[in-house]
Parts: sequence; structure tokens; C-alpha cells
Amino acid sequence: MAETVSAGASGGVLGGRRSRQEAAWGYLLIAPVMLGFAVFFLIALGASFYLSFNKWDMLTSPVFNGLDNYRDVWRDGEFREALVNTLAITIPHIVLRLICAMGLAMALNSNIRFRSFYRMLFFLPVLTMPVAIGTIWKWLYDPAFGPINSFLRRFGLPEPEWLSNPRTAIAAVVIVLLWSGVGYDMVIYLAGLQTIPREYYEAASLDGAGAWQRFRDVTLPLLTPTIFFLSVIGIIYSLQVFDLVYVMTRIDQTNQLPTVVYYIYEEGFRNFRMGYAISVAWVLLLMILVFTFIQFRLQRRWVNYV
Amino acid sequence: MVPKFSTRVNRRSLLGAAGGASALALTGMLPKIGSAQDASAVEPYNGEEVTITYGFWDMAQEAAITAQLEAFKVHFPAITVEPQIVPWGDYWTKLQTSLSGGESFDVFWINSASLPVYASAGALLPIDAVVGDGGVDLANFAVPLVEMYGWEGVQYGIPRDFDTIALFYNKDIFDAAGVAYPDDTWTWETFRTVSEQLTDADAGIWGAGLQTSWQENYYNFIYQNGGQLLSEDLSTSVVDSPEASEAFVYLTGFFADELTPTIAIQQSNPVADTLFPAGNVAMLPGGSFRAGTYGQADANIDVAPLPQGKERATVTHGLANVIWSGGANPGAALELVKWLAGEEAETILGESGATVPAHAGLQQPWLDANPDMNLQVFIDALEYAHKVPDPVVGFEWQIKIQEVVIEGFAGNIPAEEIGAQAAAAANEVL
Repeated sequence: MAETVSAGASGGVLGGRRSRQEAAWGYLLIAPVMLGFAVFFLIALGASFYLSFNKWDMLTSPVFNGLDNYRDVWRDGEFREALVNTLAITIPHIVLRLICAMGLAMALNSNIRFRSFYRMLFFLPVLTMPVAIGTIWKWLYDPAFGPINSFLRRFGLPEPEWLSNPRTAIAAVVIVLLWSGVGYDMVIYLAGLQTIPREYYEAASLDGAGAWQRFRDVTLPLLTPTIFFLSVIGIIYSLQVFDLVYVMTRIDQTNQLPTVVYYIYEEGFRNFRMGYAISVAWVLLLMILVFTFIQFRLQRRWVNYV
Repeated sequence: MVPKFSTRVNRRSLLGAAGGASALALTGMLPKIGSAQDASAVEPYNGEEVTITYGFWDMAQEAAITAQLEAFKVHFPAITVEPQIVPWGDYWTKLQTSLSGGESFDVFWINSASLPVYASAGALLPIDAVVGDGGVDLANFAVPLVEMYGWEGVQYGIPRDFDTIALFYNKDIFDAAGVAYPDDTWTWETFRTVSEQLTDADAGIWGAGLQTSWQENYYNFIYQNGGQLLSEDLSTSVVDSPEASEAFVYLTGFFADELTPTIAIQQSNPVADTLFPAGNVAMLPGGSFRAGTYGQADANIDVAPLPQGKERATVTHGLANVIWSGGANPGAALELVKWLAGEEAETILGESGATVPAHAGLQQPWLDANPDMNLQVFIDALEYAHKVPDPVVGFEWQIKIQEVVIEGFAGNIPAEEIGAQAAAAANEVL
């Protein structure tokens, strides 16, 4: 379609009319999608942006208060705490996930028995609802009755109180995020591994490269585009973690490990400060944009595109 | 890949259109919420066929409410009431979003802490017209309950039930240990001593089950020790007083010495819902609303007054039915609220055993529904019950206190500092 239109734009009268007609059809055909996009995304986005400059409790009309919300976000100690928690989850989560998933993918890319079965096994948690995952893991972490601590007890190891101590809670949440997300990364890695031509390995072997050298000098460089993609997607996802902490670390209205999105929820829906909550959401969006921008900038230094 | 004709609708005009539409959407939907009108201006129900919705959160009361609505239908055959249960965890979110979306419950439950918030926002219909000459005699309800649902001299709700806190205990655990059951002579010392006696880590039994809920835990102990939650004018929190601090230290001791399940354990095992009815906990300070469930539990449960500190005290609360000010059928909604406050509806509620009816003189059916337990202690407790103060700024201060207390119970901050830190945290939002 794009071709016809551009041809029409430079064409004669007849072509112009035809192209206009075709363009009209084009608009007509994408109208349902665009309408949905406009109503559920663009308008909502615009409304949210406007409301972020308002004091709004969701019960009475919004009152415009300029940059007050954003100024408050800047000074808000609780927001900062939530941000620190979020980063403390995100950084180990992403690093460990990229490494574990690569190991898994390489293991499951070799000729072992029941390969497809294992691949399915590791991918299953990806398809499970986060709330269900959180609920199950909460039981696994139970200090008195949970299997994890009774296992540690049997070997006389220290038994952490997992979810009720903010420090161990970070580890607990990271473990669950890893468990539930590693399968996705593994599948993407597998796809990446399978694009590496076998000849490269043969050539490397002929030149006397051992397994480690083949990995370091062939596999790793050729996987950099995959690693880059996964880290961008992973960080965007991880900075928005909510369901898991909502289900796992909350107890009677309080949360040992509030994250940024949890804080947005709390401010908006519990403390009746929806305008403020929305401005926090925009700040988070901005941060994600900055993170992603930096990643795209840095990729030039380390990502190899063949 | 971007088709060329997209340049005709350029980004700026698209964003502009979105912005304009957003503004339209905002002005169109928002002012619907607070249509300030009062019941005297409401057109009385004229007998036409209408359907209204009734929102509430407690699954345990579903049967009772169904029975109430069937009885209501007999009196008002043309009014169909659709019950809508939204579990507690989602209730307030649902209420807020539905109010701001302009499509909410016609009649719904509210708690005292939320009343000032919603009343001041104009989301509730004043019901003065049905009070007094309008049909409902507020003298039938305990004063603190009525006061909870008035705001700035206007009545918004009529109490439907009330709760007080008492000490549930598992008779089998006491019998096995050969210890006498709790009674009204108990003090803080008795409670502590017996908790120590009954705790048996090897058998997986805790003497006490101190919940994370403020209402069923530390509020009672603060009042018993002569403390208060807020100053008289509701402007500052006074949980840093020596009286309140002493209560926090006393309670933290149970957690530190593992006489009660730790916070970590309670994270996945709410004591009142799992460990106590399963027989892992000997004593549980709990609300009257738990009696119905405990009557059917496997454990052999009875109830005694809370142990007393310097004085006898408990906190009381009650829920009320209120009306959304933006509903399409306020007349029918008023009829429902009025009828729900009457003897017939309150008797049905009591007979279900799920909660204590608020209407004076109608508690007997509730007592009869659970004859094996000495539930009279909950009703007697009204005499020494305190109402939790509800400032207009909402209930965030209670959560601020809770955050500090949970940290203290978990052992992350020293017990002596709980009061001071909690008061400071609460004062930030008051």
C-alpha cells in the first residue's frame, strides 16, 4: 500500500485520485483498530498526563496544581525507598537471569535426552499467572511449615524469615522472578544459538579452539544481540514489578518491600492521592525511557550485528 | 515500514486530537460523582419496577443477605435488589473506581474509617429524611455506632451490626494441659503466664495468637492501659504516651519469646483464619464476627472477656449501609436502607449467626445461633468499648502506625521505640 501511495503522490491526476481513494480505504480499514487505540490508549494517556498535574482523590473533581506533584515526588522519601527496593530487585534479577538462561539454553541446545520435555518444563512458569506463582511461593517460604526452611533445618543451616525481613525478602522475590522468567529468556537464547552457523564452530575447532574458547570467541559475541534484547525487555519488565510483592510481602495493609508500582497503587487507591500516583507513574515511565536510551547508547560498544 | 500516508496525520495533530479528546472525556465523566443532594429532595419511591444494586464484601454473610433481600422483596415486590459481593481485598478499589466512573452500587457497606472520606467528597446521600419521623429511630442503636456514620451534623448511614473483641480459646488445649479456662478475673499477667504454660514448640502449639490486625490486637491493649490513639481534637497521635508504649512493649514480648506465631509465620498463615481454628493456638483475641466461623470449626472453641489491664476495655466498630449520591433510584435505595435498619432485617441477620445485629434488643437470635459459646461476653463488652477515632483526613494514620508496629513485632526495631516512631509516622499524615 505504501508503494501505491508514494507512486500516486508523484503521479498524474488520474493516479492522484486513485491513490486518494485507496488511502481513504486504508483509513477506513484501519479505523476500528485506530479507534480502539485512540480510546483505550491515546485518550487515556492524555488524560493521565493531564491528571498528573492535578490534585485528585477520584471522588471530587481534579484541582490543577501545576508542578506540585512532581516537586513532591522529588522530595518523597517513601518514593525513594520504593525506588531503591525496585532497583535492588531489578539488578540482581536481570544479571542472574541473563546468565542462568544462557546456561540453560546451551545445555538444552545440546543433544541430551528428553530435550523438548526439559524445554517445556522450564518454560511452563512463564505461562503461569504471577499471582498464582506468588501464592505458591509464599507457602514454600513459610518459616514454620514451608518445605524450604524444613529442608534447611534438616541440614542445620540458618533459616531465614524470608518474607518478613526486607533484606531476605529481596532475595526471595528475586528467586521467584528468576524461576518464573528464566524460561522465556531461555527460549530467546535458543533461537539465538540456532542462528549461529555450525561452520563457525568447525572452523574454530580446526584452529585448535577448546570448548571455553569456542564459547568466548564464537557463541558469546554472536549472542550479544540476544543479550541486548533480553536486558532491555527484562529491565522494562522488572522496574514495573507489582503482583509478586503485592501477593508475597504484604501483611495486613503494610508491605515490607514496597516497589514503585506498589507505591503508585497505594497512593492512588488507598490514600486517595490519584493525581500524585499518576505523576509517580510518569516519573517511572521517564526512568524506563532513560534506562532504555542508555542501553541503546551503550550497545554500540558491545553488541555485534553480523 | 511506516506507511507513507501516515505523514498526513502527523504526530502533532494526533497528539492534539488525543489531548482534546482526553479533556472532553475528563470533563464529561468527572463531575457526576458529587451531585450534592439530600434525601428530602429525593423523589420518594413511587412503586415502579426498578433494579438497584447492593455492594458488600463479607462472603460469610452472603446467605444472611440473600435471606434479607428475599424478605424485602415481599414488602417491595417492584424493587429488585442485586447483591454484589466484592471481596475485601478489592472492595475499596472497586468502590473508588466505580464512583469515579459514574457507575457504582446504589446501596453499599461502609466502615467508619471511610465514612468521612466519602461523605466529605459528596459521594454519599444524606439520609436525614428517613431518620426520626421518616421511620428509623436512631435511639435503637448504640450511640458510638450512630456517631460513626454522621459527619458534620448530617447522618449518612444506619449501623447494621457491631463487633467487640474478646478472648477466644481452644478448650482442648487447656484440658490437655490441665489449666483453668480464661475468665473475667484475668489480667495481663495471667494472660502472659498462661501463654507461657501452654506454648509447646515441639507439639506446634502457641499459647497466644496475637494477630497483625490493629482492631483485634494492640488498640485494645492501649485502651486497657489507659492510653489513647489520638488527641482530643484528633489532630495528633498520642501512641507515644507511656501508657501506649507500655502496651507495645508488653505485646512485643509475646513475639520475642515466641508465645505467639511470629510475623514471618503470620505472613502466610493468618492466625485467626488458619492456625487457631486448626488447633495450633490456644488463645486468640478476636472479634465477634469470627464467632460464626468458629462455631463450625473442628477445634473446641469458647470465649471469655479480654484480660484486663489497668482497666477493662475493648474497641468496637460496626458497619453501616449507605447510599451513593449519584444513583438513578435514590428513592428505592432509601426504602432498602430504611428496611435493613428495621427489626425484621436485623433479626434475619442475627439468626444467621454471622454477625451481631446493631438494633437494640435483637441480639438474642445471634446468641442462639451459636449456643455452645458464651457469646454474651461480646455484648457485655459494649459497656466498656471505645470507638476508634476517625479524623476527616481518612485512615492513613492507622496504616502508618501499623507499619511501625509490625516492624516492632518482627523484631526489626526495639519494642521501647514503637510508640514514639508510630506516633511520629502517624503525625506526618494527620
